[in-house]
Amino acid sequence: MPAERPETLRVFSLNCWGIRFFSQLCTQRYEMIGELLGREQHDIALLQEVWSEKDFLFLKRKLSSSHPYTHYFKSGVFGSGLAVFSKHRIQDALLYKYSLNGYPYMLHQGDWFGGKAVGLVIVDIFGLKAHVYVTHLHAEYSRAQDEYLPHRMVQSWELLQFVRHTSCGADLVVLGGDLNMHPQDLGNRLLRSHTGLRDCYTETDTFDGCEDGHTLIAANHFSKKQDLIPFEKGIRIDYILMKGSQKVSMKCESLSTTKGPVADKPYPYSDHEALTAELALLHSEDSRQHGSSNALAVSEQMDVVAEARAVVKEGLCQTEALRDKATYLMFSGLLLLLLPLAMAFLPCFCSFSTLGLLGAVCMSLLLSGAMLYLLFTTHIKVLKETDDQMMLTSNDLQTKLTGCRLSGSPSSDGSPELQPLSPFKREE
Amino acid sequence: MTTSAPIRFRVFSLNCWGIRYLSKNCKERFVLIGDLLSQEQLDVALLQEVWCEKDFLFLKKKLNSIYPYSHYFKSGFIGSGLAVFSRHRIHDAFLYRYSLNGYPYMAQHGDWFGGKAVGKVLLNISGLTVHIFVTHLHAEYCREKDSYLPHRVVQAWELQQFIRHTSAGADVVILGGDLNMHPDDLGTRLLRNYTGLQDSFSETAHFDGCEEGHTHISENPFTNTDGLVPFGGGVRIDYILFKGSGEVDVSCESLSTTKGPVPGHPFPYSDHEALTAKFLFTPTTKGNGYSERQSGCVSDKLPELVNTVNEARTEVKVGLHCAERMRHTAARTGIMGLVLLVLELAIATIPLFALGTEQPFPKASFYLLGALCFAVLLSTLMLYVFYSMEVKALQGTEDQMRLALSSFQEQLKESPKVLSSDHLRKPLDSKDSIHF
Repeated sequence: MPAERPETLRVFSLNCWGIRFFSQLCTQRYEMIGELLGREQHDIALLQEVWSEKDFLFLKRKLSSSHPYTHYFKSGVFGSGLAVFSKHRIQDALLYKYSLNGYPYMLHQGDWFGGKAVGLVIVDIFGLKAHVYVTHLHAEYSRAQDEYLPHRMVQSWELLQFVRHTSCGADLVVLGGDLNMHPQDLGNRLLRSHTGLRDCYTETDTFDGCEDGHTLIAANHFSKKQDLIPFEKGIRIDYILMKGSQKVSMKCESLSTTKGPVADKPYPYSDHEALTAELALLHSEDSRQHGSSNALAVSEQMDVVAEARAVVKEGLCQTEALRDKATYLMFSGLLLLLLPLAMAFLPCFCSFSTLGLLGAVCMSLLLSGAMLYLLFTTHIKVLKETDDQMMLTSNDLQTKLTGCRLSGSPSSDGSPELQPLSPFKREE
Repeated sequence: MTTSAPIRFRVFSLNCWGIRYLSKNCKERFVLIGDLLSQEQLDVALLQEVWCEKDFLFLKKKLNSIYPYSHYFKSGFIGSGLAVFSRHRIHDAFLYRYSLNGYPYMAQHGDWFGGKAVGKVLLNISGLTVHIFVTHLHAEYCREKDSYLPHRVVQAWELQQFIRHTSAGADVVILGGDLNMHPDDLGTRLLRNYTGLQDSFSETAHFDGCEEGHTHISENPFTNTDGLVPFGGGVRIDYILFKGSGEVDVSCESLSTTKGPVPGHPFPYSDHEALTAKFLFTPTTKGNGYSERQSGCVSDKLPELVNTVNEARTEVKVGLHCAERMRHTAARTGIMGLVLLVLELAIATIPLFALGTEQPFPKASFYLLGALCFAVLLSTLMLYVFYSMEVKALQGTEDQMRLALSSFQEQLKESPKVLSSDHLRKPLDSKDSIHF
């Protein structure tokens, strides 16, 4: 059957840096973003860090004729910051909030309050069922000593699980967003190898944008130079990933990024650069050349899961240490509480008010210790659950690998003998 | 390589009431449960309220030879309490924690600390992809004035969303658990209608158990009978639901429940009754499958589904209104606390400026009031954060419901046209099915 003429899907992704009262020139930049989207007429625009609903509603009004279908994912205290604008009808939406997302006492970082998540919209595009994911992972504040690495690992795992479990019936899958990870970082490799999603930057023949596809660059005067250390010029942490199916083959025809300052405009759209991908869709029975996730070596998947498990286990150790500290805090509060009580019975050399003050200090130690204990216990549960799920997948891959070797064919595409062992895939 | 022979599949579900130090005879009952699971020839056992990991590990050790595969879903502070024991290999597991689950200050209810969720495990039974879900929804403490109804509706919504979106590739879907909802409650109807899952109690060929399939009965010495009196001595709040697909027809051959006291044992397994369902998986030939009938059923049910989702949306809106009001109260109280603190600090500076005063500074009252203001400020701040999250979750759910409703409306509009494009059926038969 001859391949039909491919249709093109234009996808846009941008971390808008929309922290009202904190990020610079927020309102003006949203005006610019609105103009850009209205002019470019992408099929789908995926935005992150749209923290204020007012900004989303502003864009929605502005783009009501070009992008009549929208969804704003609400999560956490002022999140999730994820918004989708689409030319095509959004049939359904689902949100998966990440179980780990920083700490509430890290107020200056604010990730915990953002309720970071992955949003899924199911869009009807040219009669095809497109599953479009938009997400934003925990920021990396210090690459040398990344205390949030276990959190980001858990988020990567939950992201890949969510994509894997919800994209079974999809004709095509697109994931856009700010992963806060470099292309070869563990979380990224884990995500790509286990979902079969392909990086548009590496797949495209035509690229026009920053050097090495960087999306957070020094040339952008909004970006903080300390965020880029030790990378002088820039880093690539925003992505558009894609995957076809047996019904549809996908190819990235071109990818472009903004390059910092915008022509005729006084400042860039955001501290991040925007990505625009042109994806060609081929309705074809014969789509073997652009294989699905089966094309990746099972052993590679196993290695990356093992690496990820090590990170999660380390995170578990760290969190258990934190929980122990919280316990000490509680006990010290309890012990100190005995002090004013003892003093109350002894001949008073301390005024009542000092006792009261001491009592208040003890109570606050006790309460804060208790709440931290609660928080860290919850985190420990999440890390253990993630480890368990990774172990299950690892065992499953081990069985597949054994099956592969026994059958004699090391092929990693959907060969029939593998089918009983891959519960995700349905034979068409 | 799917088998063509029918497969029998036995599923067990029980809310174990495993609250250590609080529920009665906890340890002994877990021994009984372990014995029961060993004796019964089950394929999968779905347990809820296994709050303590030690109890799970006890069961795991005890059942290792018969159920070599298991998964314990961890979530929240003491939860999720969900455990799966399986005769068949568990290929994968995934957890979805509900966005809303009570309030942290309702310590006597404890739901918030439980991290309630829906857990999913993937099994492969003779080439058939079987997706099994286990869950436990927020408890109902007072049916007349159910302050947790919006939370449970959101949980039911998220449960059906999770099932629908993650079981596209499934041959068989089974859901077991304690839904804490009666069969005709809004959440149950929403779940069944939107997912197409069928209730094993209604569909079973053969039933043996409590009257009307009740799973929480007054005959059980552990239950609080007062709450059950208006319902004739029992309620049906635990379920095993199922669904087939185009590849496989699923029917429930039999369903049984325990009936309170267990012969030969001093007490029942739990305050809930256990459910055991026996299913028959019949692989079908293509074109004859369940999905054809199912899509017809779903489309017939579309108007009813629209009503159910609208009803659910109303409940969510009520909850939203309530949450916004609570948040406003928290904000107001917090500001009052702040104002009081500022006022106090201002008053405290007066002695500094007042000349010739000989009154001693009222340190005690100063510190006391200051501490009170500070405590009020801090607690209202945390409540404000909590209620904001509740508001967001409710708004998010309402948005999803609105999206679903507009999708339904599109489907309803399109349905007459699709009749003619349905190539699998002759035009004369078009009256029987509306195929999307």
